[in-house]
Amino acid sequence: MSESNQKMETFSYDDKIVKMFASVTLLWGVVGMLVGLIIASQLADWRMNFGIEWLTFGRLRPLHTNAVIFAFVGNSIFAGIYYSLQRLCKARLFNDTLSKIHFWGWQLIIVAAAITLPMGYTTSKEYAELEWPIDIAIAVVWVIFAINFFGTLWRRREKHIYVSIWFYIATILTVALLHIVNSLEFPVSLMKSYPIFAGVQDAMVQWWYGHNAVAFFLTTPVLGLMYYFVPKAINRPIYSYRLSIVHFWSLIFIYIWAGPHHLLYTALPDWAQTLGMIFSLMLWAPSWGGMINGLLTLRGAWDRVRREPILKFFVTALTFYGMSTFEGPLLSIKSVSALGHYTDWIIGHVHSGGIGWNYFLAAGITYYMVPRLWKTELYSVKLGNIQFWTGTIGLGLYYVSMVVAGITQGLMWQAVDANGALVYPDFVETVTKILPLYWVRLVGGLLVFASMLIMVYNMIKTIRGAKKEDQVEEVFKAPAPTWKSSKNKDQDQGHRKLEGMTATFSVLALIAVLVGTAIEFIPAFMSNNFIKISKDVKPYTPLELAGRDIYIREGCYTCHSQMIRPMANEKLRYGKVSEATEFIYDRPFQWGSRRIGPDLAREGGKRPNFWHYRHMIDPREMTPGSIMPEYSWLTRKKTGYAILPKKLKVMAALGVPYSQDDIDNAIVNAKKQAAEITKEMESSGVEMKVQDKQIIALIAYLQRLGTDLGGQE
Amino acid sequence: MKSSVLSNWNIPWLPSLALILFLTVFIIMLVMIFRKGSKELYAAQSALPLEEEGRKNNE
Repeated sequence: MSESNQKMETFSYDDKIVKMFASVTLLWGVVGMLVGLIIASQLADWRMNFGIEWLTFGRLRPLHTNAVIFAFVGNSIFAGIYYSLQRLCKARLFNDTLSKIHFWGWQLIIVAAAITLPMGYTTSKEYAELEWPIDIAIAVVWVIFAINFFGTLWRRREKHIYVSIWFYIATILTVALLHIVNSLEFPVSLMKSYPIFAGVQDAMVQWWYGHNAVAFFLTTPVLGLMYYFVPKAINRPIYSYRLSIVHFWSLIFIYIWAGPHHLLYTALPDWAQTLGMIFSLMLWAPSWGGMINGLLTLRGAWDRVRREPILKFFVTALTFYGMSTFEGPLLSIKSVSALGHYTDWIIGHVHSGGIGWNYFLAAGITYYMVPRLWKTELYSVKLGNIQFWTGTIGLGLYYVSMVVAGITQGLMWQAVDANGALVYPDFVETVTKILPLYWVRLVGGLLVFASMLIMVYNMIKTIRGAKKEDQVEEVFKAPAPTWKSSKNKDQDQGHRKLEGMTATFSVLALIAVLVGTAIEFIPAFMSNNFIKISKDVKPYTPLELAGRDIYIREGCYTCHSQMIRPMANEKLRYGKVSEATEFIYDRPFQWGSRRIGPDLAREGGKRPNFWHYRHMIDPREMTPGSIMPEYSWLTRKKTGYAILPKKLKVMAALGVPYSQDDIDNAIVNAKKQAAEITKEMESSGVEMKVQDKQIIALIAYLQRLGTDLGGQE
Repeated sequence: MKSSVLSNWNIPWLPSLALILFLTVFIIMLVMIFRKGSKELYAAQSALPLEEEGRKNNE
């Protein structure tokens, strides 16, 4: 049927919501990077929290990661998806009200995170730290987003769904799955919960989530945006559509299997570690396929990259995508992981992806969208170029300093002399050695932050330059979708037909994700049936549990691991290698992912109570050169005894063998243990009146760590 | 712990299942995208973002 015979429909795009998401992207970008700067300065100089508990590294680090991932990149993704989806579908978004609820709901979640994380309300699960009421809000807002998205697809006037939309579909379905499974928790109070998984299983679920949050929040939606905005910016189609299909299916099928590479050399079963490593290496192929596809789209137009900041950002983003996806699998090779894991190399790696790939691609689409949305010209191309070079130099300084710091510290940890003794037995030696590099990182971070401010200024001036009378919704027309009628449904075959079938396509994409999940999860959950549970491993006492929750609240896991890997140098430094059975009552697990301070898996009994007491008040008194902040408020704040019976009751409901007697006497037993610890320190000058303070509960927990099997081989 | 898990490892079919699933998915995908006559279809498909965003009503 010719177009002239077709019935034409008129419609307009909801660009107001795109403008709103694009605007807050800039706001949260500044906030997220500013928090990153603050915590980077705290590692260079421990005094930079000014003695304020809400500003400590342990509490702000989760805020930084949440702000840049879910607020900055998240809002840029929503802006880009809503902009491209409407145009690719030639249809207005499904429902304006749902769009607004999505927008305001997401901003409310971000504000809730910005308030609760510094206050210490955290689950301690990386990139999923928000407590259960906020988790529920995230699920609700995500479902609203999904309804709006699939509703728009249902109303589309273009039959076939372009490759970008496949990536969006995979993102929406997988993020929902990841978030729901990893947030399965049992509330204790309004802002406290315990996960339904424990120990090894909790670690497995968390890093299945953590790895795939990177995959399906920071990668697949951004790749979808790349497949739309790079051809738009250069005004030519993507280099190879076939390659984009291979890229899509292989990426979503393989990515989900690779989570265990975050847990190499831990107490996770060997088969799972090897599976994670192999699939990580396999990711090289699809990732580089995608990068090459994007870069080759620019073939013959490289001269424009020199002039146009949008293309500079896109090319650099694709290059960093390639570099990060090369480095990630490299780091997942077990022998490389042995050196790089727990060091700043990983921090350098995630920032090369986070800044190089995510920030630069977000900048590119912002430069593309903002002048078009406000129907005006870009205020300054020169400022765009200055922003690009400032950000790139900053990222270079950041990345190089962190990789050098990481490899230096990793080698120092591993160094053993001819007599089999550690060359650097004091952990703090390996920290003071890399302090100058923390200053270099801070300078790099400052430059990246400055580049963000330049973009904000450039965009504000661009928007201010727009004419008010131009800010009206334009009306478009397009042929009515005749392909929806049953007689026209069977014209296409193969993958092209599949691309027209949203529901079938979505189900197949979900199956691809679920297969990897199932292969990983089933044995991990079955393994509990035959792990020999040692009778020497006992549940935490009520006071230790209270101390553990303080440890979680303060974000101690952001600097201290609790996992001794099966390596000679770790055994020499920390003691007996960790075993899975030791963590069966750990909800949540506290293995950590970075050692800014030493591992604490066998901290119990290593030092006197008084050492810990003084160390918390002034770390440098006990460990000269330490960069740990002071936790003086722990000597003033009271331990929350009243909630202990409820905590034990929830733990018992989750399978921890607390008797009714344990629950009923939780407060009495906790106070008794606190009195004993304080009494032991009384001769050193500690007054008995501190026995009800949080520092005592924390000492009780620290002194318990790793003691159940500590001396047994 | 690892030795106890591995010695009790009793799901020998699982790695084979993973391999079969993996190969099947990729073979089906490759057969589909390189089928005869797909080149023109994909050329049109890849031009989707470059099409007019819907013509303005007054054109």
